[in-house]
Amino acid sequence: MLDLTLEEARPGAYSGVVSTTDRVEATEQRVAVGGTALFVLKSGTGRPMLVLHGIEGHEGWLPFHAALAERATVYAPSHPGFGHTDCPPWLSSIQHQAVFYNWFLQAAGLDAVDLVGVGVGGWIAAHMAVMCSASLRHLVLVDAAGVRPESGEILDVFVTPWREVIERAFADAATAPEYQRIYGAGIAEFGGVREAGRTMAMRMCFRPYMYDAALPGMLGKVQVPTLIVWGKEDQIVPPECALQYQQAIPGATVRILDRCGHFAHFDQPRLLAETISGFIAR
Amino acid sequence: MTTTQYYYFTEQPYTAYDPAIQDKYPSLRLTLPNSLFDPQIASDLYNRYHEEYQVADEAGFDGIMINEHHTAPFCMQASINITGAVLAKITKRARILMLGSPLPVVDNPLRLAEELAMIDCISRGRLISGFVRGGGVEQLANNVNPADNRERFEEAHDFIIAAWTRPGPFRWEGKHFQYRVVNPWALPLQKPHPPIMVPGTASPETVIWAAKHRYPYVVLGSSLEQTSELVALYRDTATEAGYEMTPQHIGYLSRVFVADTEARAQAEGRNFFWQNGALNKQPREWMAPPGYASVDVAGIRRLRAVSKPLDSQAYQEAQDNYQVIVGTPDQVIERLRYVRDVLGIGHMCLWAHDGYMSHDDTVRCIELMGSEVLPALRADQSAGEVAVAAGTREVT
Repeated sequence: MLDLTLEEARPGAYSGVVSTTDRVEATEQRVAVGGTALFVLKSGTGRPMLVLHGIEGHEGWLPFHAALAERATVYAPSHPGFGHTDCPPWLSSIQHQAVFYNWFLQAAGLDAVDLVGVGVGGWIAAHMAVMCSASLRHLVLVDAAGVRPESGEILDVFVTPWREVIERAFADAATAPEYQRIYGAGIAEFGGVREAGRTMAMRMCFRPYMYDAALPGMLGKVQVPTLIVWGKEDQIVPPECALQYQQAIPGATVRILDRCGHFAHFDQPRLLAETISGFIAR
Repeated sequence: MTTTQYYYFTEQPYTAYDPAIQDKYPSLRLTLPNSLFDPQIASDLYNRYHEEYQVADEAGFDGIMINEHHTAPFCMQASINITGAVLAKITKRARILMLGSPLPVVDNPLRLAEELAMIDCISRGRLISGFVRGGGVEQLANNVNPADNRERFEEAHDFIIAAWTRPGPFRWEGKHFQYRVVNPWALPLQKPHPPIMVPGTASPETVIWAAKHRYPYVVLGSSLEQTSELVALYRDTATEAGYEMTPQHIGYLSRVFVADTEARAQAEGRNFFWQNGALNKQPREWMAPPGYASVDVAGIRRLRAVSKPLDSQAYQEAQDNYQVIVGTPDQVIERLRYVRDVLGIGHMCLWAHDGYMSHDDTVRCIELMGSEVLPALRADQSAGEVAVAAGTREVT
């Protein structure tokens, strides 16, 4: 299906986590998208599913991905500018990301895609639903940024020390296995691939902070069956935003997950994957 | 030979709070509650600082250096142009040295070009315009994307020069700024435009940028060793650009306090530490937000290292390495001469007031500088006794 693959499964080319502890392993691919080599981890069988990460960046092949890949062919790319994928010079907003991923669907020959976005990735996914819903089979927004809360505020992740941002994105970082696995070795104050992602997020989301005032209106004609999932204890994007997305997207379903923070894909990887797979299999 | 110019400087600190509260907050910046600001006290302080500028003007300083910070109790100047306009009217001969206008946080550089032109006209051509990138926290305080800092700095600079020198009307379609009509009625008195200087503390890329534009670069109180490195970088860049760096291309800001007795000067000099090292106590995310590229890891560590809380050892150390210079006129003259000549600077900014220094002590300090320190330093150069090529002596 990926007829434009530039490089496939280069051993050692990716230093992140390609899990060997889960049943399913992923292959690393580079897909040419408008002159940019998009970094993608791919695994699983079944219908294509595109999974877009959030502000935390691409943390490798996750238990969340593996659980989804039991019933789908999962594509987990790293957004342009987030370190693994170069940023085209013109790309500087969330809407631009959506254009880029629409190009990816075309380059990879994917249609009838199940699109899943978490956090900022959910914001990208919402814009994709606006601009290329014909390519989508389902839309899943998980603790998504992109709409302005009516009563609360989205935590300012640009002035809050990064360690605190990461910790508050978990329901309980101290007991979360994914926290230990991904961040247990320490959270660097500076540098590295995560710095690139933080910079790209700053470039795209600084002002207005983490929302697009036109997005709810633009979502009004989206016909794609949509699931909105939120961690009940999301301290980054208030759960009230789930209802705003639901009001904006005709017929959207909302599921709230218990014992789950903003990083639902880290806090409840299997429950979240089962919730998504169940919705898609209806 | 050209002679060194001397400028008076104060941050205009707001001192009516206890810096010890820094322990309760991430920083004395950005989120420090402004309920701590008492406008009555601020009114007195603003006017007091303006009177001291007048004393400096009358005492014979070549110029008065001013600056701008936001959400910063250590500096009450939220608008450098307001201070500049005040100086244009209340002083008579001193240059108005702006170090500087924080270009990246300005959303309308056309208005800035107009205001600077007004200050130049009102002061009858005494403006030295200065442009600065500003610390990361200034971006946050003004809600301007830190990732755009360098691009906005450079484009705003190019635009302001164009607005001052290109006959209007013309159109500007830049990446960050667009104008359908650029046609400012107020234009600078000085031609082709007011002199421009660029301040900095550590960023090599800013030194290179200044050198490529042949703008004097003023090092804001970094160590002499580090300053020498920046001067060397300027010299190398100038050579590559095809010209020779002179002392007029380099400035340095030095903390200096003069009193009639050494004991008095030593006591008052402790005010340079009045915030107990809090100046750079900031989360990394404020000091250098992601995308604000100029301050790297090493730069931040260096800034944090110089922000030591005051103890006797730190105070003595700061004097030993010329970070703080205090004493009687004779003592200060000798040390300032060393700093000037070892760095080879054409612009010496004297940070001569800070913290809780009283009005009387500050005025006395300024008067002693005017009557004894500056004449002695100027006599060196007019007599031709010191003709040190910039930076040719080793820092000892």
